[in-house]
Amino acid sequence: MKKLPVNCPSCESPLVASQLSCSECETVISGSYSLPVLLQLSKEDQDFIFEFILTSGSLKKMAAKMEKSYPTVRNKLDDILEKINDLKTN
Amino acid sequence: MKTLLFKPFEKYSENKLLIIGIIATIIGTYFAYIFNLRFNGALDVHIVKETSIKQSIIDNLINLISLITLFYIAGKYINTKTRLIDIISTVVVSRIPYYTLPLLNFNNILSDATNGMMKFMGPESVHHMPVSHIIILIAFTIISILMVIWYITLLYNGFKIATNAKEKSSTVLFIVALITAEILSLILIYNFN
Repeated sequence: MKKLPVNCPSCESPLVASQLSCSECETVISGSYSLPVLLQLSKEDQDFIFEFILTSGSLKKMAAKMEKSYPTVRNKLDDILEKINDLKTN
Repeated sequence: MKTLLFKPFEKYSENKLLIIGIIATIIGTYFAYIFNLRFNGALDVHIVKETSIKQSIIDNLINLISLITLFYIAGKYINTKTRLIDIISTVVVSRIPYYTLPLLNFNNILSDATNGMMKFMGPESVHHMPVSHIIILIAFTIISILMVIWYITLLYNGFKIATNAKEKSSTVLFIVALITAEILSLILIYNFN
């Protein structure tokens, strides 16, 4: 799967979706749609959140699955929360 | 291998680390007793003529309590989510390199070398000092320094993971907590043991 670019490669500002199209009938919609906060996170962070949901939010289960210690996994979650809060305020 | 030696706290569960740390503490305390070494301070190790099992146990208890208390206070200040169990496992596991030091005094080799050197301390006899004693004591000093570095590296890495510390101020707080624990343990051991 192609990686979704979230920042401008030229000036590093956040990108917005300016065109959406239907893969069936080829209808094209133009506009300026901001990307959801979760999509603006890195692939690694998105995978972490996905795993977090799959383990019903249990950090202990995640730690066992990822073969990491509990504080390492908790720190990763705290770092993602910090990034989400930054993205929400910017 | 690097993770196992320097960052075991990143990978292994707190229960596993705690069990290994407690077993190492018991073995280290026993080694200190049978090989006549005293851990008389959170960062100290001294060769003595004789030590008792009670003295070795109290030394280590004071060292552990001082380190755990100071690092827990510093950890809570940095991050309120810091758990006591992570600090305890960090401290008990970090001291493992230190617990190998009594083995160097096998057969009182260090005590004999120290006493042997003391006999040649006069200005006239210093040139007759046995080379073997000097080599033994230099080797002990080098190994001790390496173990101190390993011990503090483990403490720092464990503290960073337990508290999710990133700022430079957290490193300063770590150093302050370590020095305070050293002073506190020295005072307590001097007064009670």
